[in-house]
Amino acid sequence: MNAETIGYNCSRAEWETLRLLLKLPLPPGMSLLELDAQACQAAYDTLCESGLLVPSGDRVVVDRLFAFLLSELSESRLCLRVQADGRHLLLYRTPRLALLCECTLAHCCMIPFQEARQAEDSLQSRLRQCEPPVVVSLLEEDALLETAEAESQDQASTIAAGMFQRFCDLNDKR
Amino acid sequence: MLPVLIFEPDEKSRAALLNALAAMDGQGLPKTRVDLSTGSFEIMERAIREASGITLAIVGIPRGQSEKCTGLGSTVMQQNRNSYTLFCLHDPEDLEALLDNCMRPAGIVTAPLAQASLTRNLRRILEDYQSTVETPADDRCMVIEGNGSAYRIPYDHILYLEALNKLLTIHTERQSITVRRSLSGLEESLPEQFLRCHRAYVINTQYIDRVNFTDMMVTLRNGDALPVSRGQRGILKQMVDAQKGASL
Repeated sequence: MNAETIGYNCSRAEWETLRLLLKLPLPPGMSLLELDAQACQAAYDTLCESGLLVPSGDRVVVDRLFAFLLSELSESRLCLRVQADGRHLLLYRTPRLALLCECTLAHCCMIPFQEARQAEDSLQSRLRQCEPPVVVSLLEEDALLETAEAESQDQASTIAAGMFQRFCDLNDKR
Repeated sequence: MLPVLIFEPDEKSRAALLNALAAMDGQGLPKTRVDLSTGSFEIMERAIREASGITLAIVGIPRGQSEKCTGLGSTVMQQNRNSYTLFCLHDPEDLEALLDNCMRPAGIVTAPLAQASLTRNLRRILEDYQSTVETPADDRCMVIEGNGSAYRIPYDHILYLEALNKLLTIHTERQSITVRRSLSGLEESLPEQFLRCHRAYVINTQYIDRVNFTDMMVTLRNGDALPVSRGQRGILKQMVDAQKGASL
């Protein structure tokens, strides 16, 4: 079997904990997950159990791949966001790659691509799992460049295709 | 195809490594693809961090730098436990430090590099890679190739499989791997612990946390909730009842 894409999974709480540990800003379009001390500790423990965090003296070592993906995300300025009930798709062009993040309330999956244009199929297939109404937006840093709401999956697919094109064009220009 | 990353500050040794790899072609072993050949430690370190599939890293160790360079071998193993590190030692005095610091080297050769020794080591690595990857998936693992890399996924690590259009995603706790294949084509080869709960989902029953037959949803231990189709309700209920019985 040949892999089309490989995504890297963690819970939203783990993602937020890693971001805080790495002292990275929140990328555009990503909502802040408020974590209390208990939730943060639970996420820290599961990260340690899975080897994504390794305590070393009074410091911790973050898994290099996850650290790389999160730091890439923190440097992105442009985001194509699809919001549906319980599911967010966020496409970023980062300095070294393109990253599609599929976030639910509980989880985050980061799927890297060499080029933003390679992410279109993955974005569209995941879009079909989103229950309408679906809001598609283009964001630059915190500014909303464009937004549209779709009442059906076909409409969402058409809107997303158009906005994806503009996302790629804007990336090419920058 | 086994991706190869080479870090060797000495140009002559680097050329010898490339020649040895080229000479392995046509010997009935898996092919190699040199993705990087560099004298820069930093470039090598970055390339290793970005390689997640099975990789062969060839690491030259200049005199007195064994600790720093063997760290690269540990990074290779952290990225993928099935990867290989072949060390090229420039000073035999560094051998002890290398053995103290490194994690499971696939081979150690010493400079000046002898063709016969290199060939022997590369052959052993490629034969092992062949047995790991190019043999069909066994009864405990699924093998997936992508971007020139190979992934061996133990069935026990798979949470569930998800079909969407012509794509199939295999979800493990830390990875979601999407392949172009139908779920029904793969379903037959899965071990008994897998159960189709919906036309689009096959779950690993080891990871079921709870089943809600009112909402027709099954929740896995990682918190993912998947739908249960009416047709599969009976089979799932039977299985849950049997597990309850077994645990009493």
